[in-house]
Amino acid sequence: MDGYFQIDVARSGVDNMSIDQAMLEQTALDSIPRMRVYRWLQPTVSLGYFQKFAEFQNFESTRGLAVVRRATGGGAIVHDYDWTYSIALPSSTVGAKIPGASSPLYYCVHRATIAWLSQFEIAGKLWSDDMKPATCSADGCSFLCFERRHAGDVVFQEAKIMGSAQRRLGSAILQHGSLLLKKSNYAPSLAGLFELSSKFAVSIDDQLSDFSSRLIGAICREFSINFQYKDWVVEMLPIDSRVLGRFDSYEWTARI
Amino acid sequence: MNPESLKYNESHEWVGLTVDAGKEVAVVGITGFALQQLTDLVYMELPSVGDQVTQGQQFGEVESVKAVSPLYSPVTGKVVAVHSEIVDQLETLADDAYGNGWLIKVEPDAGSSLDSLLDYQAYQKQCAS
Repeated sequence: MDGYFQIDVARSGVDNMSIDQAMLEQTALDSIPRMRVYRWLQPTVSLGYFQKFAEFQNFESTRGLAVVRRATGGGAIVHDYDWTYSIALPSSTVGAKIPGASSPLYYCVHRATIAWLSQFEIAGKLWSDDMKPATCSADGCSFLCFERRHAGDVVFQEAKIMGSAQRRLGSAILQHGSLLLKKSNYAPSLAGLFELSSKFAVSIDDQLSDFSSRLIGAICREFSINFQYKDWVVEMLPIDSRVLGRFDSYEWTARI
Repeated sequence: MNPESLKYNESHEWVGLTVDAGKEVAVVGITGFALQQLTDLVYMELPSVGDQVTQGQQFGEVESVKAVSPLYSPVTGKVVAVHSEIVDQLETLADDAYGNGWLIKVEPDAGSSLDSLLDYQAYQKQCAS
């Protein structure tokens, strides 16, 4: 099966989430796998689909930042120093008849990331439920995704450095996730790769292509997909006004 | 409800017909198999009473750990009851998927048919494949 991959330019939160939604819808229609790795034009908070907007309003350190709501669940991510990836695949490639999360896709990306991190002497691990710290308490979950823990998250020492989430639509599945590169002033409790390893001291952008290649290689092997580099995002622009209008609207961002 | 008498979407929603106050009502839920696969449910959104739902179209959403999945209606009609309490007790949904785990009740439109849905045996076969 052939698919398209590209390292995208930095875009606004609204554009990034709109493109991810559009690629999910398009893959549900034509069954073509699509993947991109991307960055954000400005520091932006992305809220989980079911996360209360009031949590963002009450969270001191991110107040005033651009905010967008994802179509996927989980906690809020501060996109300041991170790489984000998204993959849309036909569900049939990752377990069509099983509802909920596709573990093979989730673990494939996270294991590939751990392998890539080893060159920086970062011994990343997949978080499991018997590890500490615990994830959500009876009082609820932390506002920030990277303060939560779920099985399969990539952790180093006690820090979570990568998390991902999925959304299903018809016969397609979207997975996107974020690798935390460096501590942000807007989320000072979270250490990134720069703080965790002295070996990760090269230019971030120099490594993006290498990281992307590692992810693509793993996905190609696991799901028998032949990704070709193509500027497929341009072909989808302008994004359908229905999709763009959703992520750009206050009604969507503050929907709960 | 008896699972063997229900009809099923390929996407794992069940529907059973019953009579309530002299009117035919379609009761809709998620199958026990799906609930097993979804594991820990975190959030669920359901429609409101009075909303129209359409067979094969999304009527709600559920978030399990790491994934948001749509819920597709197996029937066309007007929502006449919503099991709002279950949204706050999702951990109990799998305990009685075909009874107290119902999600919505729908008054089917005239001419609405369940014939295109899977029967129990066909659904079991799908789950086993």
